[in-house]
Amino acid sequence: MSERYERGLAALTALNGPDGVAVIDKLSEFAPAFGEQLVEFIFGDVYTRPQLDLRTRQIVTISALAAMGFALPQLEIHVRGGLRAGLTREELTEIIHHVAAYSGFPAALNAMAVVRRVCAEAEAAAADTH
Amino acid sequence: MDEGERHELGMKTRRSVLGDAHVDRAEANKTAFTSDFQDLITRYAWGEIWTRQRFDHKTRRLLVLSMMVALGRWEEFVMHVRAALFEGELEPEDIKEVLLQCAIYCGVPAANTAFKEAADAVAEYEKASA
Repeated sequence: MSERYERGLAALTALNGPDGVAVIDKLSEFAPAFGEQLVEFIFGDVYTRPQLDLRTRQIVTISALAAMGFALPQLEIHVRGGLRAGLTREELTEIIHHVAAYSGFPAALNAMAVVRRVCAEAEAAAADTH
Repeated sequence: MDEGERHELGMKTRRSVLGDAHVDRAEANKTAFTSDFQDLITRYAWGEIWTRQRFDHKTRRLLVLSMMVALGRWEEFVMHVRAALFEGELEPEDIKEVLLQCAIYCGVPAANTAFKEAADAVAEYEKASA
């Protein structure tokens, strides 16, 4: 594996944990080069740039995915990643306030439903370990 | 807070984010047809959303830029790039990072257009700060 892939995989794992690795594993069975490009370009080239911290990257990404509207499965993964990168539930809903004004309430309502579901799951999982 | 106070707070926020020159122009161009809309966005977007405490203006500027790229709202994108550079605390480097991130989620052509649309404002800013 290339250094770029290794670097990307480490960044992907840090952000998305086992979810992210599972996506790549599944892709690799069916379209290996696609999974490789995803890891190398997204994570090896862009996410590892030091100029923008991971928390801010997640804010920017969640905003874009929510604005586009059709990317709700990816939004879900990135909301989980956002929690992992240190965003709180309040900060996640704060993003959606902006989505409402700049991308319309339908996009915001759909995104808020995703944020709510992911936060509920995370809170339930945290309660389980107590 | 009554709606008069909200409008006042919104106008103050709008001026601090977009700059006096821009807002003065928008106010001067207000017509009977557009004034209700101007009042609504001043109270709602500027008075209710940008004034919330959870994120600073820098973070809000970044997430608005990414949504404008996601939606291809180039006029609004350029306005916010200009404001972020000249009125805000963003540097061309910060804008570049957001656009690289957008290349992943919104597609390379969206980022390509965004770099082109931002170029004039970035060049002016660099000339002014040289």
